[in-house]
Amino acid sequence: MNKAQIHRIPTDWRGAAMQRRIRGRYAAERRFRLLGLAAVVLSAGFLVFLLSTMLANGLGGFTRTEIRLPVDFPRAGLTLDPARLAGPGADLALAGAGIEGATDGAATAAFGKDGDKLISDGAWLAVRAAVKADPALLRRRATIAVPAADAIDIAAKGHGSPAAEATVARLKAAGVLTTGFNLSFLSEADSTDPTMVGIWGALKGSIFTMIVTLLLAFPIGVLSALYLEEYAPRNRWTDLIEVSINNLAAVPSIIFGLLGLAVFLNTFHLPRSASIVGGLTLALMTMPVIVIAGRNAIKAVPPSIRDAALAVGASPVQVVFHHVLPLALPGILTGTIIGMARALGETAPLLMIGMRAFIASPPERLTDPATVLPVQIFLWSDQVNRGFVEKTSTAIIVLLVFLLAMNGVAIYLRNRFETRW
Amino acid sequence: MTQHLKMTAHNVNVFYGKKQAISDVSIDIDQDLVTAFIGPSGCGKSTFLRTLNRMNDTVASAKVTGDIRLDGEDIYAPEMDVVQLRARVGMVFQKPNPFPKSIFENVAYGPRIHGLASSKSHLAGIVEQSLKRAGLWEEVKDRLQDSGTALSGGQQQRLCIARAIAVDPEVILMDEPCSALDPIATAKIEELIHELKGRYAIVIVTHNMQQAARVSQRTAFFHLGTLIEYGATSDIFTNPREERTRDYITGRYG
Amino acid sequence: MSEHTVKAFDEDIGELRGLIAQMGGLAEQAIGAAIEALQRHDLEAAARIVAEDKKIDALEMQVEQLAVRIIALRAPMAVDLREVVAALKIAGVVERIGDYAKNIAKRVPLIDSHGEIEPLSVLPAMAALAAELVHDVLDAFAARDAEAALLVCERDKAVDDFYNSLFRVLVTHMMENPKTIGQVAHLLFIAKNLERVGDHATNVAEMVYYAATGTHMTERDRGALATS
Repeated sequence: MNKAQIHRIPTDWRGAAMQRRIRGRYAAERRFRLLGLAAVVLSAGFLVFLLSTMLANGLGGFTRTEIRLPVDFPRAGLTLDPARLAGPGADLALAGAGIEGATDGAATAAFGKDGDKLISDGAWLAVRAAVKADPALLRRRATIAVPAADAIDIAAKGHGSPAAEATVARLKAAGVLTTGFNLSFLSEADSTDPTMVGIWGALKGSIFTMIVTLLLAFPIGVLSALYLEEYAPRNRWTDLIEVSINNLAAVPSIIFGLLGLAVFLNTFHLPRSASIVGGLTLALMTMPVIVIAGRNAIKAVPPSIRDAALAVGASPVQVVFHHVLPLALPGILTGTIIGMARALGETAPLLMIGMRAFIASPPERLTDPATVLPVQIFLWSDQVNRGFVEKTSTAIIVLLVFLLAMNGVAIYLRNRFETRW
Repeated sequence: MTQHLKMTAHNVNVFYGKKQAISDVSIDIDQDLVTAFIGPSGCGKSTFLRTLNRMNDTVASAKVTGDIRLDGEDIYAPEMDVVQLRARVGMVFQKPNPFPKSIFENVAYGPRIHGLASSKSHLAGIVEQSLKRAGLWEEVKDRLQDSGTALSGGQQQRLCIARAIAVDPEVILMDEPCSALDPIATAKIEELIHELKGRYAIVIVTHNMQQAARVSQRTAFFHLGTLIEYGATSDIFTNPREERTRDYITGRYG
Repeated sequence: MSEHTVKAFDEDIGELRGLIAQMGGLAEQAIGAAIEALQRHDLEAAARIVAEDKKIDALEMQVEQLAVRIIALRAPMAVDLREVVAALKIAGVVERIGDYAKNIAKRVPLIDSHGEIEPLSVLPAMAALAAELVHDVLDAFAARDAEAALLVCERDKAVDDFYNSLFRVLVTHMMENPKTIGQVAHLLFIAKNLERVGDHATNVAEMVYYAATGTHMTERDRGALATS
């Protein structure tokens, strides 16, 4: 009876009370928008800060100081027959030619007693490369740009000792100091000399490891997701599997390292520090992420599409591969990107399986010892030598570029497969 | 008129877990006629329709008992290949659901997976014939590569009908095909059903009694999972025998 | 029968049946009044009856409009459809019954007998019987009673018998009193009209039967045709 007695007075939408409510509502909306904007600005700020710091510290690593070294080849005392340089035995001939001594000699001749300390330990390699490229040099004098010593390089970039800086000023005045693009950073492997160090070894190791990870984690992850969503019955066992996979994705990465150590190295006796072991370990880590993303993407495919395919007489396998998978692919690829990006940056598990050694030459096969970019960065950051500080930041930039490239490829693939509804 | 029975059902029961959705339904589907299933919401007409092409198999808790035959063969026998059954007994759904592919691919998909076309030109011919039979050819013949989902609702539903026709079925089941369409699109589909009659046995579930009256020659009235009355459409709508049927069609229900 | 879920549908059907009942009442009244006017040679009453027939015509048009509206807007099925179609046809028949009453009233000025013609006294009974048939058949329509409709068909035989005997009497009278032929001929027509009213009541009974049951009356139910 009470319900029938409620008396509704006409609402005064224009009254003072309502106006207050409106103002309050608008203020709340404004506040929320500002909060959101502040959050975005803060996030962007962090990102800008990170990038600018890295670039400021690391861009210098892409350049290196070079000294224009005059070399008088006929009087250098090289035991080298120019004719042999044309044939297949060129490298052998060059090896026994005593180029290193000749380079040091030229440096001393040009810059005085300590002249050979001004040039890098690997300067002779530049001379060797020049001679190999143009054997005619052997008959005359030439000026070859060779990498400067580490101390000179640091001083030229403004971080060196006063004595070194004085030397740099002297060399600059003499016009023999140049700055060139540090191509060797991208083409050489690890080294003890910061001027000779390169990222290529670690990059190749990362590439091998990523390939192994992708080839293992993607098919296993996608097929598992398909089976769990499309075929598996809904009972306690499948629930248990689902919970286990969700938990696996949250397990700290170092535990996967321990797992890799115990299983792959100790039980299966795979070669220590090899890309294949790194790839296997990271695959274990990445697979749960792909399974979870895959399951969500498959769940998002509307049942009407499945019904339509079944009604036309498609078998369950055809429904999955002709209809469900293409529609779920964008979501699966997104999950793969996330998983692979995480794997690319993982250091702890790979340290556990031994990819921390000093690798002087890039790996040739999957079973060769290798290292990966994050580990390389970690190792360099540990070095005492001042020159490695800059190189660490430079390596971080390379890592970020690699990551961007990987993401770019994945996003391109995702957009290509994204079907318009 | 001699009856050519395409599908027969005897004593069919359908359970979803413990809940019984269909109780002891027996009905014959004539080959040359359009049969309509009518009844209030939840009466089981859609559930029963789906037993005819075993779409209930996709629901884990569904159990079907009874004898359902297509041309005399038991469709629930272990020897019956469900995939082939569904090509012989096609289905069109309430909400148009074309594949997110081109119009051509939508229609060509069925013949392709069943290997019904001997060459590319044969397949193109099948696609053209199906689209013509579905009354869609003139509207889409110049844009077969456009996406099927870019069409209007009525066109999408006709595309789904063309897709069902492309595998050359013997029976076409339609589950409230015009529910989501406007009156003009509905009228086009009804006219299409009239043209398809005779070539395919058609069973249509509809909650629109006037549509059942317009389109079908035999009508079955379902209520709470049982078949209350089944007879010639003109008899059901002018002089039904059962009181429950009469109450439903005159709007005295509830 | 329970009510329609859409109440307005029930209201429309109710209105239709009300109009039919109204028409029937007017027609019944007209028959009785016409015969009374005849007996008393009341010219004013007769003129009134002729004028009142317009009301019956107007009601028939109303019934037609309402029936068409119901069919268009309500899409009646089964028993509702049969009832609406029956109401449409019954309205036409009742309108004709009204016309017969008007016809009788029109002949009142032409029969100036002052009680000399004996068979005149038989007509009221026949008219009462015919009017009763009309009343009963419309009651059957209101009650959706197929059995009552069947009874009306059987009782029409009595009206036919009445007409047959009256015919013989009037012809004999005309032969014996040639001076009264003119007026007796009118009486003959009036008797024929009453017999037709009975037949029309039978037609209405068939429509009521179909509306109620969905099947048609067989020949056996209709009874023998009047011999004329």
